[in-house]
Amino acid sequence: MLNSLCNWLDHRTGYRDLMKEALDEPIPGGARWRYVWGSTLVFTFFVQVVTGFVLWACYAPSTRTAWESVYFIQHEMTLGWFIRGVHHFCAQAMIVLLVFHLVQVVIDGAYKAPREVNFWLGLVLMQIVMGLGLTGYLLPWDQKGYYATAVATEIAGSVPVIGPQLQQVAQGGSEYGHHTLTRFFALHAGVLPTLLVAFLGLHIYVFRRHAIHVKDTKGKPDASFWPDQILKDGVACLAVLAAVMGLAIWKGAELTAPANPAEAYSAARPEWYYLFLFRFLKFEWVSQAGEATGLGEAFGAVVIPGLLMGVLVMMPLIARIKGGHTFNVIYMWVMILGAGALTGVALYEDWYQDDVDSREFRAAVEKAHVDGERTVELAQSPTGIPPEGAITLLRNDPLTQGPALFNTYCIECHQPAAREGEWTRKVGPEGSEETIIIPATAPELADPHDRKNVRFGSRDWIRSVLTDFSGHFQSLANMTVENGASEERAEAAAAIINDGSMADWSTTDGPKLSDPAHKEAFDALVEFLYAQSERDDALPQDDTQVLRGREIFESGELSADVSFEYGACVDCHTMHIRGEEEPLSDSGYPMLSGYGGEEWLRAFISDPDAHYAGNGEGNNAMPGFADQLSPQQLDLLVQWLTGDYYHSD
Amino acid sequence: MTETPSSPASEEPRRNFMTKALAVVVGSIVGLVPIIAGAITAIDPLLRRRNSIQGTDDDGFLKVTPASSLDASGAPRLFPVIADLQDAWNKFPQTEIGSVYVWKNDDGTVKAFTARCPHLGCTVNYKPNQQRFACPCHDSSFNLDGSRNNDIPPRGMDPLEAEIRGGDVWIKFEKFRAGVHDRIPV
Repeated sequence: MLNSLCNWLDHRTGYRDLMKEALDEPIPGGARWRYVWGSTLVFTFFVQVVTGFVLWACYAPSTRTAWESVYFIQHEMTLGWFIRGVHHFCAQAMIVLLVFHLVQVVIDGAYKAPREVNFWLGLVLMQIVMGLGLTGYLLPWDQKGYYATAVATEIAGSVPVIGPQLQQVAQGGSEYGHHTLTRFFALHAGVLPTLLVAFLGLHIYVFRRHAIHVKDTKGKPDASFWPDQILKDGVACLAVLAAVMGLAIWKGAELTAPANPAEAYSAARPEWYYLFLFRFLKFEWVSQAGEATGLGEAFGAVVIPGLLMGVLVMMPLIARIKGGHTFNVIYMWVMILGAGALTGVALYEDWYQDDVDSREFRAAVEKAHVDGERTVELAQSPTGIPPEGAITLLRNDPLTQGPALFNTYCIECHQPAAREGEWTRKVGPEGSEETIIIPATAPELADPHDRKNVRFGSRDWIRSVLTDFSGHFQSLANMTVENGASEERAEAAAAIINDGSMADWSTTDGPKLSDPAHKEAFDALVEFLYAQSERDDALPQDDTQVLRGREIFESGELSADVSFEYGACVDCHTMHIRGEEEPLSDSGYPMLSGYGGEEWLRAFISDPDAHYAGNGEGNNAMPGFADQLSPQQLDLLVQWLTGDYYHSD
Repeated sequence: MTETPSSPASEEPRRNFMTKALAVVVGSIVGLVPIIAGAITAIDPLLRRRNSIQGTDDDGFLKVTPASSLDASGAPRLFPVIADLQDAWNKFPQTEIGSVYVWKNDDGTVKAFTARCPHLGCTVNYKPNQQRFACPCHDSSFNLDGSRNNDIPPRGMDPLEAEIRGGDVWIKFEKFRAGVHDRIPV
């Protein structure tokens, strides 16, 4: 029954002849492992087509949906992370296998007559695969792909004569945007794969025409493609698949933060197989030669690689000359060693070298990871991804923007203790290299490198202010005219720690709080002050501990027989508890109503003299920032410092 | 096919069979693993049902329109249904998710039908001069009480739970499978 059906089908289609033609290829000298590379390449392309179609079905190419749809594939869809990981690593496996295939062909002399044309077809395929890698890298529209690909299109733009037009066509405009993605996607999923299929068909057809190139049968009996060589090919493909799957599971394809043209990305690097070219362009002499020849960047990025590639193209002709084959083999190894060495140098400099640039690169990579993870956290939060796209998630995130603003506006005075000495200033006459270290001139508030642990306004902060006021504000001593502070500020700073009444209070009454006998009272006072901030982890105003602290704040009595010698807190500080009609105290500065909370902090940063110190009634050495920070920036900074942002846990 | 006497492999038919069997097994693994993994991701919509409409009350009701906007004479009027929509990765606040016909009963309560035709999902039109609903796609026709006016649709129009709360019309917006006799929520 089955037999007659097969006979019928064969009669109508002749499929048996086709199968025979495809499978019965004779292999002189028997099947060998060294023949597997071509098959593994076809296999990786098959994997790319399968996973690529699935990704295609879930991907939306536009600047407001590309990252978002890839995020959805990676984090929400069943096995999406796996499919994307396999696609990502299989692309890299393809490059590696291409090199193996090329090496095999050159060593064995399989590129020589009559197989020259097939060698050239292979080189065309190599360009197509590299093009697929380049175009695919941009599609997630994350910081990594965006900045790496921007370099590639700038290189295209540097090509003499047609460069700018080439770049504009590739980008779909003068800037990166929606049309960059639609074009790259059309290239990646349409044009290049179609070309690849066409050239692969020709490559295999011509390959079969001349049969496999056997260097030496070593007297072994012949075999046929099916099943001997197919089994070896299959095992090799299995090994490739296992490696790719292993990497997909173990490492996974990364998705950094959404592309942001306003956010510098100091970790911009191409995919690793382009690192040699990247490193090559970092040599100063390459740029100098480019300038001297009038070719600019295109000299190093296009002309030199083109010439090297040209020699590769000429190999079948060079082989006709005596000693030509030996030259070709040596040339190939020199190329591979050269590219390998450049790649090694690039990797070493980025990951192991201990200098400023390398450390900055690693810090930038780390930041990219952190930003990427944070964007995913926010995308998974109840707010979700708004129609304006995921780029707004980080833009409006206090945990991300707060530390960045702090870095710009606050950190030079409020230095993190762990990083003292990092800030320097040039001194002496113009052109002199002499620098001095800028000392911290205000207390440590937070470290942007440890952004979830803000010191300002914390319970520890309050304890330290109460029991060790002079120590807590010690860095104010550096706020001197010699260090660049105005006379007015220097005086204010000195007043705070030297003869301020709070310093005296802390010296006299601080030890009473530190006394273990008054631990309960101290804790209560701290809780009361902390409760004023109304932060998420603060106790409510009617909590018994807070009420006890309030009592101490008003009366200054720690216990029945011990009270503050210098007076109660209300004697000097304004305190109006939110929601209550009558203030505990309506005069005295610094004012503590809502201390450490968002409102208090916003007003404080805007204009500390007015809000906090009552325009000269109390002590203050900090300038106001109302004219430097926009209301939105102020909000982001304040929300970060007070812990008011989305917590994933 | 290679078992002709001239084939070198035929001298060891057993070994040749093993090679073939192994080649088929290995070939199947490398071929099927990517295809199966891809198929699983491709059928993700069947594996995970995501709740797309958000912002309803606990009973699934949405505010559609103020009761004062209903036709005083009791004729059906078409209102858009607006809700928060989770569409794959995006969250769209307050966006169009469908439309409903709402009108008053004689006793002051409200009646609502989804505007989606139970035949094949087009939006039906109201023909005020004929006091009936007509679908522009395949001419399904319905009476004012939602019952079928011809035999093209498999069932009458789909009624939705509706009530007036605090001067507003609230509706439990649901979708039903088209083209079948029974009313099955999607």
